[in-house]
Amino acid sequence: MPLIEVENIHKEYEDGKTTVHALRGIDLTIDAGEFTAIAGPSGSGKTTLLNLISGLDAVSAGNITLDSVDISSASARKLSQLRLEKIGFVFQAYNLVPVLTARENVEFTMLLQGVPSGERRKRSLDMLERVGLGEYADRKPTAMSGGQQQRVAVARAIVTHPRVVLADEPTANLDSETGSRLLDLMKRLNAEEDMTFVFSTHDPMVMDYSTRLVRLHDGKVKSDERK
Amino acid sequence: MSILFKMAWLNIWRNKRRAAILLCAMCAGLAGVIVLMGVTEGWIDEMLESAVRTQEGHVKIMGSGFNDNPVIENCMSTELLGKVYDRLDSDHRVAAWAERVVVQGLLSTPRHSRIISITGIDPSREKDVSIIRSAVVEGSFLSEDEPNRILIGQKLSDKLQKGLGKKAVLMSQQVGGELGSSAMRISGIFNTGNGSFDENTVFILKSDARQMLNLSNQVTETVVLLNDIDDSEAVAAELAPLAPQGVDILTWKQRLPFIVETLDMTNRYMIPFYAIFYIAMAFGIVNTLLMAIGERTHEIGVMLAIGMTRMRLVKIVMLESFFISLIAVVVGCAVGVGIVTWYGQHGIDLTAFASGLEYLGVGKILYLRISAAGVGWAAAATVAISLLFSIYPAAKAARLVPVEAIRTIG
Repeated sequence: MPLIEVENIHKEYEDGKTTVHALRGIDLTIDAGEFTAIAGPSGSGKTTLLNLISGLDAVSAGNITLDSVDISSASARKLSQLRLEKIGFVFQAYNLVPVLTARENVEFTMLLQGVPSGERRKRSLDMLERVGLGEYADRKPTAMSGGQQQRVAVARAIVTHPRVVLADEPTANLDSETGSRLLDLMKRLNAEEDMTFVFSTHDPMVMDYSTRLVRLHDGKVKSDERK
Repeated sequence: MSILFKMAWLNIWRNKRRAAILLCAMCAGLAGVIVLMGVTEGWIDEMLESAVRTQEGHVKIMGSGFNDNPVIENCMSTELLGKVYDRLDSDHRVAAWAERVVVQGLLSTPRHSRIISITGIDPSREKDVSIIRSAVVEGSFLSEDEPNRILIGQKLSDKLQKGLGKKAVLMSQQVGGELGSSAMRISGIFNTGNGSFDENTVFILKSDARQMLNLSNQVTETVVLLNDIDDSEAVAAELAPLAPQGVDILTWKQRLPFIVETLDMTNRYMIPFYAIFYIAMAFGIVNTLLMAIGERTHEIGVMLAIGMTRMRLVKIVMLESFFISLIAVVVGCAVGVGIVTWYGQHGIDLTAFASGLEYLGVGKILYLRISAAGVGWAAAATVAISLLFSIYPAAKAARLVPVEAIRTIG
């Protein structure tokens, strides 16, 4: 059953006096449990597509449905609630709140969901154990490496069991070994939790790890390949 | 501690130097407000205390009409005041009371004549209700054993060029319109620190005043000193039913409208000065929070993206401002109250301005005073201003568009 349905979406925005066509009629369906990479050169529209799927940005035309919720017509409040309950985010860098410890960062989304503090603490420690950072629970992001920070970000993204994790170039600031370990982790979670992952990337390693590779070029789907 | 509280607290210290500068400015501002209040309260207290302790007391019992028209015809008979005096003697709130005969008159020497206020006193009682006895700087206080003696102020003595042992003649109108006069010898010179009072008031024995004015048992006023000025209205209200017809009971507020008005006016006129301190604080808070939010734009974008509500974001920013104000309140109040306490004990030397101040009833040393209510008001205003002026930066943070904020690096 499709988890994400993207139907003929267009995205235009003004850049000074010119209109930029970031996406030009994208059609895409992503099923639950897929490990999908959306690849393409800079300016191809991959980050824009991720932003539209998450409701962070609004489409100019077309429809997006996430877990049967029509994102295109949802209010800002509903979109915020949708992101909190159904989507986990991993950004390129600077994902974490620097004044909070790793455990508190992982707890953060549960706090927003209203999970009681005892349960928050237990689940966040369990999740840090699962991503191999149990002993770093009380460290602040500034005392951790870039790879460790991204693993904390992954832990934060999945601790609430979202329907999909959207990761915008998660390995862009990591060396290849650290990036590989991060992808191993996400692949394992994908397999163990049947959790859906969608990446935007131009990193060949991410493309290799993915089970489906969607290539964008000039705001259009150039190829869609399942491995 | 809640994560949101912890975030707000730790956010303050991300840029320690900036936080320290803001806190120093706020603490200095709050301490400044408290010191300013201390000067104002000290000045008003000094003026009031001076008036109460030189002449006015807290409550006065007077013949009807004497307050508005202080002529000898408006004096009162003490025979009818038995119940009032019994009450004064038994009331624990009353520190002391004394009868006086106060009239306007003329003091003449071979070379000068001056219109002055002649105050006939009972020395044994007067020493407890006013500072006149302790204000005697030359010679001695009046004594019932030595009639026809007069105490004059230092300023009057200088102007008349008359010192101890010299003669002066007092004249004043008697009941019925006849002119009464008495020759007196200067037995003491006083200095209360209130130049106007010292220049225009002389003291003689009550019995001498009665003789000069052809009075039997009448007086013009009975002054009552209380242990606590705040009891003035209550004591006056309780004495009123005991007073005979033709006698008024007045509090210092009714007797000294100038001081009451000055007190009100001072409080009103000080508001712009306090406002300057608070406006400076407000700009500091807005500026600091805007800078902090600017530096955290990406982070705020991430938080909004993962589902944080805008209202929660507003709460965090306002909590930051609240915590800053709490620190400023604790430190600023400690510094401000410390300064006021020190100058409350040691005083500020105003000798350079003494000639002007003494006419306002203020001495050469100003002792700062501040009430707990004053400190509470200054502290509450600091917290309120901090919260009020954090709304704009908080709203600005809440209006950030997540997708644009995330693009901001850093």
